[in-house]
Amino acid sequence: MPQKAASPGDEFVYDHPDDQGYGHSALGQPLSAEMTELDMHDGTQVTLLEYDEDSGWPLVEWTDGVGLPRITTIDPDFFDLYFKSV
Amino acid sequence: MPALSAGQLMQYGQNQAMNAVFRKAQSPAIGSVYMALSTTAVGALQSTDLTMAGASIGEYATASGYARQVYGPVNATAASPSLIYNTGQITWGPFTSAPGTCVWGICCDAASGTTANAIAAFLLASTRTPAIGDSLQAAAGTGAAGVGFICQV
Repeated sequence: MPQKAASPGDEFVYDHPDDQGYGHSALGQPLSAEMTELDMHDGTQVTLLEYDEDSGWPLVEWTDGVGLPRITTIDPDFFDLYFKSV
Repeated sequence: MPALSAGQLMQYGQNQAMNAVFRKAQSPAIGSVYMALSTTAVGALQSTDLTMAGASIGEYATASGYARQVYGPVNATAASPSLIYNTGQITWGPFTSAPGTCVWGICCDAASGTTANAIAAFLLASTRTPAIGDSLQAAAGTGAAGVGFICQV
């Protein structure tokens, strides 16, 4: 679980130092144009939904660049580093 | 993945529906249901699996960016057979590790956890194997066969 004492309903902003999207950062290189559009972009606001019962990873709700509601699990260490409380 | 087969209610869904329409039990309260992705081979998914802990469920691992998505269906159509389908596109990911090949969508009643009840299963018209960084998107239903996650009774 994230080290920070985050609770369901808490809001965060994804803030990557190199302005990389979540998928881009995981891959380590730019995504295709189609996947970039669907990526979680730097600056995206998310709401902590809950912690996954199996992995313990936080589930966050967010809206992607095409306006669709999404739920994504975030690596806890990554969450601590790059998701800033708002 | 624009084309998906018609969905089939799992045992839990069949039981809930029958008890509701024959007034043997109160239906569950209005709320969200969620679409999971499963790697179970065609022919191996057992409709008798009551929860997402079922031996044949084979859901993607969550330590990958994957999470169940809100299904968001229409009201069941006033027709026979009655249909229900997703109103909007559904997108999973982006994936931070390769989750394997998905074969099924499985609708259940919780965002995470194996205690979620398995409601219905939808065989994908073609399997998908997302790579790291990818998002996986399903078409919105229209009521037409083969478009979106359609369930009928």
